[in-house]
Amino acid sequence: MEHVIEINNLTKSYGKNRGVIDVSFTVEPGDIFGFLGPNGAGKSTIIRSMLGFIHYEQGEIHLFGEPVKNLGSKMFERIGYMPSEAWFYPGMTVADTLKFAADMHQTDASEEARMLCERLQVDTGKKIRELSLGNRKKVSIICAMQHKPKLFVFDEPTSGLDPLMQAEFFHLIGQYVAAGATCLLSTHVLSEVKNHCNRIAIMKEGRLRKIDTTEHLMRTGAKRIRMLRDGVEVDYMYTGDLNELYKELEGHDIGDILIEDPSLEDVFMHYYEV
Amino acid sequence: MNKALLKHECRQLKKTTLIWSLAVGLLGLLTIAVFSSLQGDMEQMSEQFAKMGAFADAVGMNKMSIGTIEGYYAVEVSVIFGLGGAMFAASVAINMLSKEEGGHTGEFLYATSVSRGGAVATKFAAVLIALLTFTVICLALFGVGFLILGAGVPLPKFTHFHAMQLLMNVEVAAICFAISAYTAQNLFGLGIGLVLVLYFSDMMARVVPSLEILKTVSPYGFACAADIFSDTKIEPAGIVLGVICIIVALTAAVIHYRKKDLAA
Repeated sequence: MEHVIEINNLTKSYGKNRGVIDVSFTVEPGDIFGFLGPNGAGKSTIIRSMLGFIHYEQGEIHLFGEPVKNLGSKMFERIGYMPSEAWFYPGMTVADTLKFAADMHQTDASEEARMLCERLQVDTGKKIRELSLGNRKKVSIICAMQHKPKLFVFDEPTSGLDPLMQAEFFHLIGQYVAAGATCLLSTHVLSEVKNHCNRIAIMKEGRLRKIDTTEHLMRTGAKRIRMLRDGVEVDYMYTGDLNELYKELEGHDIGDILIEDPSLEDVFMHYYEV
Repeated sequence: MNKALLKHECRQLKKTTLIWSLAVGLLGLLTIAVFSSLQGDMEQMSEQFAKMGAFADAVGMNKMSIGTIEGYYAVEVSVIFGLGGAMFAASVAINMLSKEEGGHTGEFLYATSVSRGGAVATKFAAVLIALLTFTVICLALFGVGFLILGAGVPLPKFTHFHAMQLLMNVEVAAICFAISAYTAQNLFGLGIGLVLVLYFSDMMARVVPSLEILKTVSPYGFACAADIFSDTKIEPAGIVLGVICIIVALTAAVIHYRKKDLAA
């Protein structure tokens, strides 16, 4: 089966500043792929390179099995993109904005837009300049979804959304993916990734640090150790053989000890501290 | 060419086009309409201006008498239309591409099925439509001015002059449009400054013989009302240079805009 996204050895710099270095990964059909990393890690650079907004020096990007450079703007018939900043033309109403986005895709998306507006509780009569950040985000989500693309690319989609709308957003994602779509979700909200993504890539300083299924990442050999050793509280990630750990503890005064599987936060921090 | 984008851009330009058209058109209408009440004074002024040497050369009064409606139109109304039209062209085109990055709407727009090359073509088409609309509204209002005055419109010269003015406005727009492809800012001041430089360089070329080349460089050279209404031969080099300038500017805009990294 062809990869929906295939990125090989992608390198992009901004003059003397680092962008991303030698990044390779694939996203498979039906994935909800979590793209994790703090601000400046290079997530948006990869997305913007992939979608042709910026040009890259080295590497190859394939979407739907074809080099992205051959696809041109027609690829957006199959892609729904939500940028991290939800900006539109301020003088337009929400209805006009959604119609304009659909017209630009040369499709009639009125039925889907109506359904999405109802689900996300968007007032289509309001002007964009009257909307809060959260409501602009909702319009951006609808623009990305209304033409029923095969691939969703969301860059920080839930910032500004209230918890109910966040839940509705992920419910919608689940429905579209169940209907055959694929989703790339860039975020730094670990709980979103843990709860909704089946695969995760962790970025750090422009490099891909780790890529695996959420399940595998959560079941790394690492353990989180919390103990009171010789009267001092110790809290760390342990990746070695547990028998070795027991040997290390011999001769120490252990007041209390807790050995547990790491949370995603622990895994994330582990890759950042390495 | 993308129909949805063209409709969107025309809608966005509607208010600006109407404001500029009505401002320039009504000013021209009033200027034409008051000619009969000023005619006596204009004949006297024309004689006095004719003695002013360089100044008369600069504004074309060495060739036309502002005591006649043709001369009055060529000297007075042409300045209003020539400067107003070019400033409108510059103000519209200088922000046409850059506004997407400046307003952070680039990713929204270019995450649709329109290519950047297609967007450049469509956006320039919207500028052309705005320039044509501006010209038609202004000419209609000038026509009303002639009706109020009860004078006939000198149609061949009138058409020739306004065709050249339209070409000049397209040239100014093309240059500003190309600038817009290279920046993410609204360089309105630069656009207006460019128009003034072109206008005054033409005036200087008419006064200082050693600067005559500027008459060819500036589009105000081939679109000079005094030359057209007085049947002075217009060198085709200026027109050819203008057309080349339009082609080069648009080509540069397309090439650069297609490969530039869009600001988020």
